[in-house]
Order: sequence, then structure tokens, then C-alpha cells
Amino acid sequence: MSGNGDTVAAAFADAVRQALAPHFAAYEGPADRALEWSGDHWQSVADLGLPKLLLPETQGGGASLAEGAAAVEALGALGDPSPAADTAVLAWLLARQGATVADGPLVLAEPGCRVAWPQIACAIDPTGEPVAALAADSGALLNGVPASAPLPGATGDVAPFRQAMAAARAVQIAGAAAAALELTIGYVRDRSQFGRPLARFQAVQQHIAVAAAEVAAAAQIARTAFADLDRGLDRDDPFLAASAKIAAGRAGTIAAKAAHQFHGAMGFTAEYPLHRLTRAIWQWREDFGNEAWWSRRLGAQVCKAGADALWPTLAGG
Amino acid sequence: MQFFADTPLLDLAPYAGLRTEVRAFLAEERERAGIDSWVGSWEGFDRGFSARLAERGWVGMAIPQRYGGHEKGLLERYVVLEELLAGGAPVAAHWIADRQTAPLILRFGTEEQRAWFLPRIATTEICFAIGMSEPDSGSDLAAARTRAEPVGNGWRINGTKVWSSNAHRDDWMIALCRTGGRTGDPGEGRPDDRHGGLSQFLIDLSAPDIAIRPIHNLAGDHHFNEVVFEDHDIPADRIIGNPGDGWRQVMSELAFERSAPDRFLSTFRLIVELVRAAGPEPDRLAAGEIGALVARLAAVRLLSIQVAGALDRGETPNTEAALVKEVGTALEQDTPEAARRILAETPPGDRAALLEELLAYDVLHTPSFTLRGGAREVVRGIVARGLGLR
Repeated sequence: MSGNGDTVAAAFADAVRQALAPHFAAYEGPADRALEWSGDHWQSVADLGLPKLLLPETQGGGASLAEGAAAVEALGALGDPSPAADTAVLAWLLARQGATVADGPLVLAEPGCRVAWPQIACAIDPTGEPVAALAADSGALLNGVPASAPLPGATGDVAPFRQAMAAARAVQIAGAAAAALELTIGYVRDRSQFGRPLARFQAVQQHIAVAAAEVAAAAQIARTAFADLDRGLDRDDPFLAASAKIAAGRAGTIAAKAAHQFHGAMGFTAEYPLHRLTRAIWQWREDFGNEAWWSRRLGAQVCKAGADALWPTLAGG
Repeated sequence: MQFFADTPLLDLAPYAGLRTEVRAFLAEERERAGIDSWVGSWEGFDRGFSARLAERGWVGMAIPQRYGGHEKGLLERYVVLEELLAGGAPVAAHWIADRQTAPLILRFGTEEQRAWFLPRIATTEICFAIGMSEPDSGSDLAAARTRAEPVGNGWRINGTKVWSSNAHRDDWMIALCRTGGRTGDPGEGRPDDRHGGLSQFLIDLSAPDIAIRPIHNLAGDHHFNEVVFEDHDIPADRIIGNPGDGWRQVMSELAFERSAPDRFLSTFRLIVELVRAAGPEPDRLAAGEIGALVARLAAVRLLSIQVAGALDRGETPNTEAALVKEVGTALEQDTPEAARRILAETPPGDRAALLEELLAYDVLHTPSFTLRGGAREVVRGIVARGLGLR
């Protein structure tokens, strides 16, 4: 049931975990301060070929979107705060639009939003043009990533970028939520209270089972939405990306709540690694449209298409 | 804790033509019935509908041709199932037999049982009821007390089964009975082995000495029955599999019962009519509520398709099937609540009567969604075991 297959995607996900996990010490610091950029970590990201993963083989990539989803899920399971997933997806989008892709970390600069890793990553607008240097004077995002002040202007026409990044964040959340539950399952099996492991209490079992079911469903649609990005963008149809971001935001919220509940006060400490995952979930569910934002748009899209189009839309034809 | 992370995403696109055919068939059937939509989801029992469906080759799809079936893959069958359920079609007459009885007989039955029962299931000539629960054995299925004693050339059945939906209309029942638990009993069960000593039997419900009594539900419908066996004798060849294998067989049956689209599409017609009422320019509340429902539906459907793929490969994805049932039935229960919030602001539109009927049906049947096919808490326990918590 868990990552025991021998597929290319699984092997790649393992490689991502093994290569990046040792570098996470660099991101451990006082929890009340913004993370510092780790050049060593990014070098490992680059050595793995993640930034160019989804580019054509001639440009150093060659992975399918389905394989890319496995890599992004692995990044999510690490709570990776770097813009590794962003870079892979944005480079793919830019190449798709025929723009040249520079080396180095990429992030999306959306009007009205804060931009992650200013001064480190190259922030691009939806035409692929770099945005003028951004000041990092606005503190940190929920996962400790430094960010710029909100960009001027309302949300512009960034639809394809938002759609692609929403699918990516959904996959990352699915990875982080599964990892948070795995950590929780290990903890409740080890931790004894009232003379028996917490895992033996039905109240604990049932709560974790509910979260696991939501995460399993969200992971499935997140992977599907990511693998389907090409088609979704071609048709200007955000149905799957929107559904994935809504389902993942919901599942991530439920999983984070369960994970913290059963870790007790220990999980609330800066020292215990759970917050790397749960803070990531809380940030990622906001990025590129949260559940409420996408639900209204998805509902509007469904209603506009009409009642009799709903089932064919869900069934893919 | 990932599920299906390494399993390629399944593509149902090759069956697009089949979808169109099923939709056209359903449109004809609605016209025949003179209705805009069925109400009552898959609990509608209509032998005529089931027979016409069978004529099209859409019952017994997974049964091999030598047993009168159509020998299609489980994914192709899945497409037909979800089209029927999304349409709200009255499939109850053939549903149990097609969903779980046929695979059970195919896997564990004798050659004679396969040759006699499977072709009749494929034509819907015979309909099956489930005989699992008893007055003192609900979620705790292993507490079954109905006994089958070996007598002469057969078995003598004594005991009571309850909640057997449509037993008063069905032809046969698969009853889970205790055959072991005493010295010298068939089957290996001992008194301390609750799962041993259980066996499954094919019971002809037309026998005059079987008492089938109605149990009306809170909506006034008669689906449930109490089925009482008093010294009911059956031939020896009506046992399925070996004495004592009943528990393992019943568990494999439940994987089919728990993951299918009937675990998340029960309230789909209500969602469709809500979209119609909200119109092309819904208010923000309606749009948000509808979007949230549709996203959850899209997600659980993909998980369910993965389970269908696993079943198709011959795996026994019990944990994964339980995941589908958990999220699917939660969505079903949330649907009428979302509908109430939407309809507090949105006028019901041209099909007000239908919308009201669907909402009333779903509200009244809400309790059953997380009971049928295994109570929610039992299902969560199965997930917990799969996660290593038990």
C-alpha cells in the first residue's frame, strides 16, 4: 500500500527524499525568524535535476508530468520550503509559452500577493518577465519562508500560472499531509498513556482514519490534476486543478489538526519536526487561491456549464 | 501512508462510446417512465428496467462468457455502474447479484454452481438478497448465530437474518451461517475462534417454510426484511466454498461492496438539481457550496477508480475500499446540508417539486448512508488496521 513499488516515479521520489533530507538541518533555526536560504540545499535540488525536470529532454529535463507529480509529492512530504517545485512548474510553463528559461530558482509574482524568497529567487510575472528586485521587509510566510510586501495591483490575468501552481501546491499538500499522518502514526504507537499505547484507543484510531481517507482522496486528484496540466491549460479548463486545490486544502487542514491533536504539546514545540509539515500545509493551502476562492470559481464554472453538463465534466466526457 | 502513489493513473477515456450508449439508454428509460429524474437513487427496484439493461449486455459484464456473461474488465463495468448511478437509475433488482454475488460464486463456487447461477444473474432472471446481519449480529458480523447443521444429504438452517433489503422481492439469498464451534462440526472453528466455523449458503427464498416479514424504515418504505429459518432444509450442494471459509469469503465480498460508486453517488441527483436551481450566474454562497461538493466528488471518484483497478488486477484492497466508503459517505451526508444552505438564499427554480422531493428523500435517508455496507466506525477501524494502528 505504501511506496513499495519499483516504478520510475517511486524510485525518483526516493531519490528526492534521500538527497534532500540531510540538508534540512539548514532550515532548522529559531521558529520566530525567517528561514535563511541554503545554497547547499539548492545545489542538491539542482543536482537532482529538479528545476529543469519538466523541460524537454534537450534542455536537461524529460520527465512526464506524472513523474513530476511524484517528485513534487516527495518535496511536499519533506515540507521543502525552497522554491524547487515552483521552479520546475514555472520553467515548464515558460518553455511551453516559448519563453527562454534562466537558471536558478523561480517564483511567481502575482499582483496583490506576497512573493516568496525575494532577493534569492527570480520572480517572474505571467509573461515570463522578471519583476524588479523585491525587498524582503515583510517578515515570513506561515512556513517561515521570507516574503516581499504584497505587490501593487489587484490579481491580474495570471490564470494559467495560478492553475498550474494550484495543482502543484495540491500535490505538495498531499505529500505533507501524508507525512504528517505517518509521523503521527509512529508517535501514537510509541507513546503510552493510561497504561497503553495511544494507538490502542479507538478515539485516536478513528480520528486518524478519517484524516487518512481525506488525504488519500486528495492525493489522487492532486496527482491527476498535475499530470493533466497540459490538457487543462490547452482547454483553459481549471476544473481538475481547482478540485485538487480544494480537496487538498480540506484534507491538509484535517490532517494537520489530527497530527497536532495526537502529538499533544510535543507537536506544538519548535523543536519537534511536525511543524515543518503543518506550517507548510497552512501556507500552501493559502497559496494561489485557497479552498474558498477556488470553490466559488469552480461552482461558478459548473453552474455556467449547466446542470446537465456536470456529470460529463466529472466523468471526463 | 500513501495509497496508490506508484499506481499509474487509470484512463477511462477508451470507454467514452460506452458512456454515450448508457446515457441514451437512460434517456429512453426516463421517457418510458415519464419522469425528468429518478428519485431514490439505487434503491429503486424495477425488474423490467434490470431486464432491459441485461438485454443491452450491461449486467454480468465481469462474468466469463462460458457462464453467460460478457467477460469485460472491471473498469469497463465501472463506467456502466457510474453512469447508472449518476443517472439515479433504479438498479436495486440486479445490483447485489451483479456487485457481489456473481464475483463470490465465480471465485469460491463449484463448477455446477457457476454453471447454474451465473447465467441467470447475467439475464437478471434471479435476484439476490444479502443475509449477513442478525438481531444480535450487526457490525459484529462474526457474532452470527444462524446455524447450518449437516443432516442426511444436506443442511438444516435455523436462525434469523435482518435488514435484508428486498428479500421480499428477491429469489435467492446468500446466508452467512455458523457450521462450526462444536466438537465434530464441519469447518475448523472452535468456540474461541469467532471467525472460524462460519460458512456461506445459497438459499432459495421461494421455499414456503421461510418467513419473510417486512420492516418499514422511517420514510415508510419497505426495503428491509426479517427472514426467519426454522428447520429449513437445503441440499448439500448449496454451500459456497469449504465449511469454515465463510469469514474470508464474506470479507472479499465486502471489498466489492465498499468501494463502488454507490458509496458516493447516492446524492448526486440532488447536486445536479441544485446546479439547475442556482442557474448560470449563481450567487456567491451557492457557487461556493456547489464548488466544494463537486471538488470532493471528483476526488473520491478518482480514488474509487483506483480501487476498481486494484480489484481488476485481482488484489484485495480492503483498506483502500474502506477509504472510499469513509470519504464518499461523508460527502453524501453533507450534500443535503449544503442544499439547505443554498436553498435558504436561492429560489428552487422550474423544477421546484423535483428538487424538494430529492432533498426530502436524501434528508430522510441520511442515516443509512453511513450504516449500509458496514457502519462508519467499523469502516474506520479497518482503515486504522491498514495504517498499523490496530
